[in-house]
Amino acid sequence: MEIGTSLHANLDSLAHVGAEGILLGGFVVVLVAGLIRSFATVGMLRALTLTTLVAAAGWTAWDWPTDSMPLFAGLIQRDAFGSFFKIVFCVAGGLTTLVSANQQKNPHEYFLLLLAAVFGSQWAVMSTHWLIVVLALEMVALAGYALAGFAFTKSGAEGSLKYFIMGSALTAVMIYGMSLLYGATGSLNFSEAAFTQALLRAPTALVLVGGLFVVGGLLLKIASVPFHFWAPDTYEAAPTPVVAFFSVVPKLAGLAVLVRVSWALYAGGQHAVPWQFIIGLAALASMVVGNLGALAQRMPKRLLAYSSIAQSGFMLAAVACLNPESVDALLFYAVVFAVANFAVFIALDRFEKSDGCVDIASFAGLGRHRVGLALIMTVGLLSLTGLPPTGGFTAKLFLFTTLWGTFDGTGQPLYQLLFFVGLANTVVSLFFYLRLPYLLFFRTAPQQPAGATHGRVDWVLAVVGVALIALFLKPDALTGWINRVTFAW
Amino acid sequence: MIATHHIFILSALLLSVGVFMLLTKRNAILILMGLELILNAANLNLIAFNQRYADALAGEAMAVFVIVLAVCEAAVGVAIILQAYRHYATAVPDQISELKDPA
Amino acid sequence: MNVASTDWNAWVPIALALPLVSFVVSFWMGPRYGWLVPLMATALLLAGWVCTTVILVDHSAGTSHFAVPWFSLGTDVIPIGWWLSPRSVTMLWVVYTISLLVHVYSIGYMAGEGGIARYFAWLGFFTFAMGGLVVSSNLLVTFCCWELVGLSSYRLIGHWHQQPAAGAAATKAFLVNRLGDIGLLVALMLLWSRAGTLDMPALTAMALSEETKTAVGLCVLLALAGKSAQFPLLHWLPDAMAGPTPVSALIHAATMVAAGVYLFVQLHFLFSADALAVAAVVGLLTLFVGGWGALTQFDVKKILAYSTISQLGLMVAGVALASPEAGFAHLFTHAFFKAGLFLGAGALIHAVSRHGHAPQQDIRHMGGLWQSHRLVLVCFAVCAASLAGMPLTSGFLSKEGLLLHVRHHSFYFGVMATASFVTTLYSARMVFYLLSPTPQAAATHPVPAIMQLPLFVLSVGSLFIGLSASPLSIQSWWPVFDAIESAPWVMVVSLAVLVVGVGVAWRLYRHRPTATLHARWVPQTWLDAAQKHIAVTPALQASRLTHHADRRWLDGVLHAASYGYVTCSFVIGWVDRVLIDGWVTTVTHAAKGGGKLFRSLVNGKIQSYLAWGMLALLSFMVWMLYQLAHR
Repeated sequence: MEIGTSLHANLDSLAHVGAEGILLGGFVVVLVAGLIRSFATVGMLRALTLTTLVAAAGWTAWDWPTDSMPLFAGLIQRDAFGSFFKIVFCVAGGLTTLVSANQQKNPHEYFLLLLAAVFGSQWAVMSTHWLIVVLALEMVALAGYALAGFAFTKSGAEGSLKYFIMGSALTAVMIYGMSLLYGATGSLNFSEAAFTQALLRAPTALVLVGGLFVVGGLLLKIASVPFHFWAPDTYEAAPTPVVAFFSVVPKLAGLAVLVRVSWALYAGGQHAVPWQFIIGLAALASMVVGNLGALAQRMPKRLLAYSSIAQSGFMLAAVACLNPESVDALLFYAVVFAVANFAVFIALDRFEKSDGCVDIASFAGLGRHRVGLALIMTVGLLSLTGLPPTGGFTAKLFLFTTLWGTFDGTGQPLYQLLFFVGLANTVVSLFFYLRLPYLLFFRTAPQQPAGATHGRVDWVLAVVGVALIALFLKPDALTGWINRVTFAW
Repeated sequence: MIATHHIFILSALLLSVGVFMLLTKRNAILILMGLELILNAANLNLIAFNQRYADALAGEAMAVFVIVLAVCEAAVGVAIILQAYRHYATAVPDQISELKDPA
Repeated sequence: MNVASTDWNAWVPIALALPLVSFVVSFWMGPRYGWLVPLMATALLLAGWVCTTVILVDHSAGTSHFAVPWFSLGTDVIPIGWWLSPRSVTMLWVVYTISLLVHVYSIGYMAGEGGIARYFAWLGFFTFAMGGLVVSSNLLVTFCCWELVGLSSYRLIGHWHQQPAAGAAATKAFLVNRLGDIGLLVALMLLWSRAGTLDMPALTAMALSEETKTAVGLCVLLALAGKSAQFPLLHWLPDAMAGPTPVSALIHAATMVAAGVYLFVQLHFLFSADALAVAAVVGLLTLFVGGWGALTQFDVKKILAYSTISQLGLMVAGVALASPEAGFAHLFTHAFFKAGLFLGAGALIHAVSRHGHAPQQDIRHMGGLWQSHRLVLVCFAVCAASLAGMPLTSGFLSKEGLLLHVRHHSFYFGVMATASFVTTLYSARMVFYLLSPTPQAAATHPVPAIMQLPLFVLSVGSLFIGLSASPLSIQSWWPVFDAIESAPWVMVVSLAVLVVGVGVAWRLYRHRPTATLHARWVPQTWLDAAQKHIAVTPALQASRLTHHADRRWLDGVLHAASYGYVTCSFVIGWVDRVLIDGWVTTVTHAAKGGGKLFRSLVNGKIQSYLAWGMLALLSFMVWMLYQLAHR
């Protein structure tokens, strides 16, 4: 291809990344606004960030792709799958921005990093090229390393350091794996047919090692076993809104990339390496380790970190099915998980601010005084458990139905195992998820809580809580969008 | 003439040394250096394999980006290590371990 | 799949919405207008009851089905709606009736207690969920309601959460039920993958393979064992008596625990012959375990709980062996007399308990109330008579229905007749203790009229009136029994069992022995008691010879029975301890141990995190390479 034509093709492609353009523009505006003294207030920066994210989400919804189209000479692919996640990321970023009202320390950098992380994850979900995978995920990760320490405390620095060492080590290993896959196939674009054909001809061992390195790097982003160790430490030390963001955006971005990558490596089931088995094993281990690890935790954020490891396991189980139906279940589960996680973390943030709750025991009896807050937290936790009447139940139902359907279709015992271990884990998870509601409502408080000024339910929390119930009562609203996602390679 | 597989073996050795440094070094800065070694191992691979697929410069282009990436990572990394050093007065990762699970 | 069916009936949503409104409003009004909550909740439920009565009259014959799409995934549409049949509207009416009576009763019973608003709110919520479970046409909706009744039961058992026992019992009930729920969930998944629909009217028209039916049937059986306290998941129900007594009457006697049996009746067509056989065995085992438990208890609520277990076992066995209709008929009558027994027991407990003390529930200390609480005791006795299956009561009719169905299988007939004997024995035992003339040590409390009224209504409901034109014939009662030809010998047998049962009870319990039943079986004790008995009964003194034979005969039978029971209970205890508790213990230990192991890895040292991760990745890689190389 001549330089001129390819330049034109790239310029044409620019028209299709409007949402990313908006985010970039917003980033520059916030960057400049932060430098002008009269603009550099938390409220102003927050409003600008929020506007940017809402505009980007709106653009993505309006500019909904009906088919998949490679852009920038195959670096990224624009399709409904990516757009779906992009909206989730913008909404998650928006929610984080909304609850970061008292980010008094370095608000300028804080909102910039938030925007950068969303920007990076937007590219990640569209990527079909190793280079973009690396750059986009690294953009999310670098912003994340910095955000993890934004409490500016001693433990904050430690959490940030741990996340950084673990994350960058696995990223480096992932890049090494990519170089192996490149050597095996001669292509960095993993969505093109040439890659698949070369993959089938390449030495199995090389593909296995390269692929495992890449999958390992992605598992770290998802906080899945065996690279889950950073999550509890980092979650505990980071500011709560940041944790809410962490547990949704980088995780789902990694998951979306994993879906694309595993589809490419799977090569329609023709390859000798059993990728379903590998991902299924990670799913099994994550469910078990996450749930059992959560049982004896005393810090709410550590507990939720383990819960998010277990939830990663459930989502990985859907990925392991490697069929188009499972993607529907995954998308539904991802959205419900994101909403429920935000409900719990925002409520947790409020409890921390109003009652100074640091460990689980300090929640005792607070349900009487902060009924609304405790109720929404309970709804969120019920949803994470998968009990009705919350969206979590519907999500688990779809997921388990898909698993059973895949078992029926393929006859592989792996899916049956995932099904039953998943069910058993749902039972185990009751023990720790319901501990907080139990303390909130059934125990009496040692003393009257101090101020009643904080800890009220504002509209953000109310919307999140109602959304969880609505996802149970009327999941069609979401499945309607999901049905517009055609996942075809 | 150095064949591709010679470079491949070198890069594998570099990877091993890098991982070894990651796991054993007692100073966070040296861990950072281990990271650089792994990234450079990947770069070596990319460039070496590009000889086999010489019709496009994809591998070499990616190597350039990875070099830039390594710089960014080092910058953020050193900042974070400095931050931890301020609080803990040490850069030994084992001594920066207040966050852990209850026994 | 066609999901739109438009037999709209506005009464159904209104009937379901009213208790839900009660739930919301009770919580909302609770803090400020606590005194108003009981009256408002009862009024709302009365309105709901009127709606269900209208539905009952409308649908006494014929079915109607209404469904709208709820949500869809891909091309599969899950509908939500109702399926009204004579059976489901009857059940709906029963639920609302008992719930209404329990609401009325609770106004008196819970007066002055803490957390009244919470109590009435959850009663309303339970009624809503149970109503939804009964009328739902889609098994997925049924499952949701199934979970919700479990939730409200959990909240109500633990209502007095200051007591540790209540909290523990609530947790136990909740967890055992989850075990059963997994069964239902798996059954739903199986049905969904095999039949492609969870709509009950559609399922009835579908021909499924025997294997599927066996699998589905066994899974549903697990679910109903959890909910209806069937062997081996029965030990939560006696503990659940830690909740308020009206709750026990509504949830743990009349309706929620019967939900399992109701589901069995509704899904009877999904059971293969093998699954039915397993269900029958489970039911019969439960029947005896429950009866045995009831005989050994002195706590009146525990007696009733074990009796409930036993009667539920009878229903399950009846559905499996006789016919769904016969089992359902017993469910219907049981709802009334067992709720009556619980409310009566609650009234007596209220009468003898002193304020600020633990409630007095021991039947050995509850006698001497005949002068002051005549109406309560009469109502209680009527309900107990119905439980025992006395003629002129509803219990007689439904038991007759079950016995008539199995009369051709001598083994099952014998087992059921023996079970009736046990039932009679413990019912009579309970009544004898409560009617004892021993005066109370302290002054008793009067039972308010508002508590006596529902009790009276329930005891009237336990009589044959309104059910059948003739007190002794079931043919004129339930339309489905028309086809059964009557067999007078069946009635003779059941009457004989009754007479013998009451007679034995009279001899055993007339003097209200305070020792447990085990001591009764020591021959010396038995002989002493018998001799004493004879000494004070001149009429029997004359027939020493008869007595001798009698003693030998009775002794032998009781010995055999006691050995049988002890063996059975030992086996069951072993199963309970090793399998159920053992299972729970093993899982708990494994979970704890696993948790400890996984936590010990998270030691705070980043390089060890990395090392573990790398080790896992590399060892897996080596293993995988080995696998691939050796294929």
